[in-house]
Amino acid sequence: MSNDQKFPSADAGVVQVASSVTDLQQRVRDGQKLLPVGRQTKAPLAAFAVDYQAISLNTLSGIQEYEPSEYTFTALAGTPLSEIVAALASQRQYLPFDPVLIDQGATLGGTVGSGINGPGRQRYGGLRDFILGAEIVTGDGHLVSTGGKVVKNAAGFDVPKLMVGSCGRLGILTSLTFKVFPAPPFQLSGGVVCQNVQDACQVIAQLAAGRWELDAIDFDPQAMMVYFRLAGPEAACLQLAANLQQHLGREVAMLPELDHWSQIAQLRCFSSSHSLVARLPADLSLIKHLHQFAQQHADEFAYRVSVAGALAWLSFSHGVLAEFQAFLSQHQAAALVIRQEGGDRVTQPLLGARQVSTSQQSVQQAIKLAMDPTQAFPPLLDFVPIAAQ
Amino acid sequence: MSQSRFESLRDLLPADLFQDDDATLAAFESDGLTAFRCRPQGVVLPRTNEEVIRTVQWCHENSVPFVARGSGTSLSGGSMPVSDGIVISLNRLQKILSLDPDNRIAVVQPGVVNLQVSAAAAPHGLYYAPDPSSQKICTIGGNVAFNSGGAHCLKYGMTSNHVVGIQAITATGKLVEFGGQSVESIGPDWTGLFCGSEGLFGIALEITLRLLPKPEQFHTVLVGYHSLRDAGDAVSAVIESGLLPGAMEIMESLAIEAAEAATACGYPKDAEAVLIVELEGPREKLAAEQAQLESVIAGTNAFETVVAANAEQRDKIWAGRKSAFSAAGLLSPDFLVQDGVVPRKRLGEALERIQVISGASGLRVANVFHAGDGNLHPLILFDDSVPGELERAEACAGEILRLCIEMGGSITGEHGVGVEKRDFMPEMYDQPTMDLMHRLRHAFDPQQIANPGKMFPGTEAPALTAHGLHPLEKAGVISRE
Repeated sequence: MSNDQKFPSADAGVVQVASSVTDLQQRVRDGQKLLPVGRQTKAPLAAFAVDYQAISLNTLSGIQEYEPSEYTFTALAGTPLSEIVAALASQRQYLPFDPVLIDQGATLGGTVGSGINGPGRQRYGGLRDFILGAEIVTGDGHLVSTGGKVVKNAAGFDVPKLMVGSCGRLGILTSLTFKVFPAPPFQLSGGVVCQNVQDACQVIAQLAAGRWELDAIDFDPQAMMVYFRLAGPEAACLQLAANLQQHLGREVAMLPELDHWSQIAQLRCFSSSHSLVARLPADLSLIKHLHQFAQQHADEFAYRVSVAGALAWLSFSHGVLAEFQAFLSQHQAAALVIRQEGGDRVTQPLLGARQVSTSQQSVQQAIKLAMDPTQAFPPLLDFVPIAAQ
Repeated sequence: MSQSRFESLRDLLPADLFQDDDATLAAFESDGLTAFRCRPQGVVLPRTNEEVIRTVQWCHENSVPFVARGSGTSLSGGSMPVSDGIVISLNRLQKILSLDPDNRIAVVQPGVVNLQVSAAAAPHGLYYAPDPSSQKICTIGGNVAFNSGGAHCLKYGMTSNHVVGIQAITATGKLVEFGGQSVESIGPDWTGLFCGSEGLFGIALEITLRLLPKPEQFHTVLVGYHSLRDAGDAVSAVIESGLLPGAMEIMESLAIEAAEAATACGYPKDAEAVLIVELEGPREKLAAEQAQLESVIAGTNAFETVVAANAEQRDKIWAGRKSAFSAAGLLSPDFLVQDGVVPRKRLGEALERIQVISGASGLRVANVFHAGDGNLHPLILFDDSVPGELERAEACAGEILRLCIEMGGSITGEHGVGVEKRDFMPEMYDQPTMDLMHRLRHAFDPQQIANPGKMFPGTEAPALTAHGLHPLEKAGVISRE
C-alpha cells in the first residue's frame, strides 16, 4: 500500500455533515471513526487514516452568548471567524492573537484545533491564553463541558488548553468560550531596515524587551525589515514610534499599508513557484540557521518570522522537502504544513524528527485514550519520514 | 505500611534526605489552609532532580502516596500531606537554570520563589507577570501545580499563560517533556493540561517561563465609595470605557478596617468600599489613559480619589490590599478564605447575597476581590474555640460556592480546588466531565498516589467540610488548629 492510500487528504474524500451535537454523539456511539473538519482552510491537517470519515461541523454554527461587559463569548465550533470578529468589532472588542484565514472562511473550531496564532500573539498571548471553555464529544460519545465561562477559573484539569493544536485527534469540539479584549482605538505599523539576519534578530530582541509594548514584531528577510505594530491612543502611538526611532538610532519607516500582516493573515505562499505553507515554532537562534537554509534554497524556500522570533512561517516547493526534513532533524525542530496549493501534496502534515522518548509517547498515548477510549478519532499526529512519501 | 518499608527509601537516598523525626514531620503537617493538619510518614528533601525521580519511582514501585510541596502557601489545602504517605519538599531545587533575555524565557527549578524570577529578569528590563499575594515566598512549582493567579490576571492571565514548557516526572515514574523553549508549539497543548493539575499528574522538575518587558510606569488610583454598589458600578464604567487596567481590586469596609490596622495604608476614612485601579505601560500611553480614567471615575459616586504620586505611595496602596488575608487575623481568631468567581456584571448581586448568607450564619464576612475578573475573596471570620463556629463557617463557605456555581461562575479563580473545595467539583461539572477528569488522572497516575485527596471528592484525605470530628481526628491521626 502506498502512503497516498494510507493517508488520503481529506479534501479528496467525501465529507459528511453533522446535523447536531446529538448526531455527532450517536455517530461516535455507533462506532463510526471520525475526523472533525470545518471549512478545510488548513487541508493538510485533515490528512487522515483511511478508516476515518471526515465529518463537517459547518452546520453547528452561531454565537451562543456574547457578553461584552464580561469580555467573553461562546460560539458553536463551526462558526466562521468572520462572524465572530464582526460581532466583536461592533462592540469595539477583538481577539488579540490575530486569528488567521478569516477571509477564507476559517471556523472557530478549526482555529482551536490547528492552534494557529497571528502576529498579535506577541503582546497578550496566543489562542491558548484566551480559550476559557470547551464542550467536546469524547470518544465514548459523551458530551463534556470543560473549563468555564468566566474569565478566571482554576477548577479541574485545563482540558480546553489541551484541545488547542489537537487537530481533531482527541475529541470533537462543539462549542467554545473565549476571553476577548477591548480593541485598541488606533494601530500604527512601522519597519526597521536591518543589515542582515543577525542584525534583525538583535533588533527583534531589542524591540521585544523594550518599553514600547509592541503588539506585533515580525521580520521579512526578503525586505530585510523588522516590522512592528503599535496599538493604543493615536497620539501615544505616534510619540512611541518617534521614540523608538530615536532609541534605535536607525531608519524607521512608517508603513500605513503594510502587506505583510495581510499576507500572514491569509497564509499564502510567498512565491508562485511554492506550493506549501508551514509553521515552525522557533527561537532567534533557529531563525539564524533557517536564514542560511533559505539562502541555500533561494528559489524553492522562503520564510517570514512572526511573534518576535517564536514562530516562522515557511513557504516552499515540494522539491525541497527532503532537504528541509534534514534541516529539521539536525535542529531537533518540527514544522506543520498548514496549506498546499496545487502541485504535489504532502500526505502527512507533521515534518521533522524531534526525538520523543518512549515514556513520553506512552504518557501522550494514555492521555489520548482518556479522551478517546474507543479510538473513535485518528491517532495523534506523528512524524513520518518524508523520504517515505 | 510498616516503618521498615521506608528504610528502603532511606537507603536509596543520600544520608539525611529522608527524615521522619517528630520535629520535621510537625513542620510539614499543614499548609496555608491551617484548619487541618495531617502528619506524613516521612519527608524527603531532595537536592537534585535525580533524587526526586528516584523517590517518585520508589513511591510508584511501593504504592506509597506522595505530596510534592514548595513553601506550603496553598490556601486550598493543596499541599496537605496524607497520613500513609510522604512529603517531597522541593525547596532545595531553587536554581534559575537559564535566562535568555533575547527570547525572553527563563528555565527554573520548582523550588524557585516567584519573586526571584522577576529579580533575576530585572537587569534585562524583564519580569515574570503572575503575582500571587504570597509571591515573596511561594514557589514556581506550586504556582504551576495550582495555576496561581494574582491581581493582574485580567490583562496577563494566570500562571498557565506564562508557562512555555515543563519537564516532569509522572506519578508512574516516567520522565516527560511538554512544550519547549518557544511560546509556539505543535500538537496538543500538553503543557497547558499539566498546569493547574494540582500535583495529581506528577512533579514538575524544570519549568520554562515566559518573561515580559517590565511596564515602564504605573498609574495607581485609590477611590473611596460610600457603597459597595457604587464601587461595583465604577468597575463596569471602567470596562465600558475600553480601558484595560492591569488590575482592578475592591475591598469593603471590614477588610479595609483590617488592612488599616495591619499596615496603616491610609485608605479613605469612612469608606464602605475602596476601588484600586492600576494602569501600566509606556508613559505616552499612560498619559492618555490616565486622563480617560480620571474622567470615568469623575462620573461615578466617588467621594475621595487618591492617585499614587510615586512608587512609595503605590507600594502603600498595594500593601493594604496584599495584607488583607493576614490582616483578617486581627479581626478574628480564625477565618476561611473563599475564592469563587461570578460573572463581573453580577458582582453586586453576589455581594448582596453573601451579606444575606453572612447575616443568616451570624458570622462576619470581609470581602476582598479581584473586581476586574469577578473573583471574590470573602473572608469568613469565626472563632474555633466557640463550639459550632467552624461548622457554621464551613456551611457559609459552601453556600457562597454554590452561589458562584448558580451564577455561572466557578468555585475557584486562583487558589485551586485542593482539599477544601473538592466536594463541590461534581456540582460544577456534570458526571461525564468528572468521568473524563478521572480518566485523565488515571492516564498519569493509575495508582492515585500523586497528591491524593485533592480535587476529587472521596475518602483519600480528611475533608474540611466534615462536620464534627473527622474519623482520623478521632483516631488521633490528624488535628485542627
